[in-house]
Amino acid sequence: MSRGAHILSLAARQLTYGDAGAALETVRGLLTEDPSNATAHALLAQILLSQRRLHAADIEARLALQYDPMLPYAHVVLGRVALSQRRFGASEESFLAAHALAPDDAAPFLGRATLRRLQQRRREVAPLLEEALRREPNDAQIHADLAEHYADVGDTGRAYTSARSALALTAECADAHVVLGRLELGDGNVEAAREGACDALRLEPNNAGALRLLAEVKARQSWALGLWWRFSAALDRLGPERSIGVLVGLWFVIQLATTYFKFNKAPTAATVTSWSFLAFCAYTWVAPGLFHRSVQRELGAVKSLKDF
Amino acid sequence: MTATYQIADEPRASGLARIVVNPIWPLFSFMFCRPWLAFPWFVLNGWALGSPSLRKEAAIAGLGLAVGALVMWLALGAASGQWAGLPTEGSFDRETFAYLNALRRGLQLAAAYALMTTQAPAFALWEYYGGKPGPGFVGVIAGAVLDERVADAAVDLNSIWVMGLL
Repeated sequence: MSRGAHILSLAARQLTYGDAGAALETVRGLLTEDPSNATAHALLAQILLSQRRLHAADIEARLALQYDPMLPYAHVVLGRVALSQRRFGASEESFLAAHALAPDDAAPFLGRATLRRLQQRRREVAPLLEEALRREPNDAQIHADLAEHYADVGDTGRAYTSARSALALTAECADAHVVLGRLELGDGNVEAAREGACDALRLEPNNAGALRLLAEVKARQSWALGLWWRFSAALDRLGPERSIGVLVGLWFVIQLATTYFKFNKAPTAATVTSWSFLAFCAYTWVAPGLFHRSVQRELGAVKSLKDF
Repeated sequence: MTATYQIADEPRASGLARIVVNPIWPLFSFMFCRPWLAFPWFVLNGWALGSPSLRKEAAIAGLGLAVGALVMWLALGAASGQWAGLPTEGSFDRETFAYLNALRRGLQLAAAYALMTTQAPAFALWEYYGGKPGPGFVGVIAGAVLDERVADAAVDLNSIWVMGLL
């Protein structure tokens, strides 16, 4: 194995174990020595994507393709970046290009399955995941993805089966633990759901799904924090531009109402409206901190376990 | 020594790193005083930060000020019985002005939010690589203290473009 390939393999492992910062510095070191290494640019794009630095990830994926247009991995990463930017057409094109270059690779099918999920074309998700599984039958992650899909569409029986298949292949599949946790939460077993999240976090301390599940468990345990969690999750789904629109729209409505009450001789109503909005602002200011602290406490408990 | 590989969205050092603050503080300054401080502060902060999106930030700030001036022009005119322009002698409908002024503040608040979300990733990276932000609350307090004086001075200038900053 060449030195470059060895460094890339180290960076890929760092990324897999959730240390994107270390992976980025490893690849940066390689690119400083060899700026035209296409695989390094593609891996850097994947790392930046994991950090939600979409603009930079897009540039790196394109650089990878500039240096090696026949690199399937670079097409796959470019497709994933486009997917995160919700440019569905470009994403599909990239995955199809990757498939044309490497027909036996499961990654393009996984990418297209995620694409179909985002496009709400759920019926097409399972066949694509099955195609991926045909190429990589012992890949626990694909079984976990299938389990997640079945959990999304409410087919809990198949979801349990796929999650258990993933765990039979390797007990270290964090996403399978997350799916089992989600299913438990759906059944109202909050404690079992918490355990599912903790099991996943033991394996991958930065697993996004596990952190979300743990936050959902916390939200279920406290209605006041739960309210903020739901509000925040709803804004998150809207994206930054729309959520700014919603928040500013809310502020504008309050201003209009206060002005109306003030000029129509209802000073009490104007004061109540202003103070209610102030209370809402204070709550949304304080709640994230409290929520974060509560989740951190839970994470601290997980990290102090012997088998972490 | 060779330079390390630079990623496109990483801030480039500007030599003004000492005046960098968390972009939440210019946003707070918008809330605690008029927009005369927030928009220029965002642009200065982006410049000091070496923000890769500085042009976009400057464009948003410019748009925020221009839209503010335009709506103020319409609001002052509508409140004084003409379709637009600075008020002349005669009656002034304070209620109409209050509604249109709320619209102006809302549009400028959206611009200030957009500036904060655009600048925040560059700030996070700058901080991640060891940058130490300054105490932004000092600027907010100073802005709140000076706000009325700046507003009075601006009104004396009797210019619609300056009114957009109020």
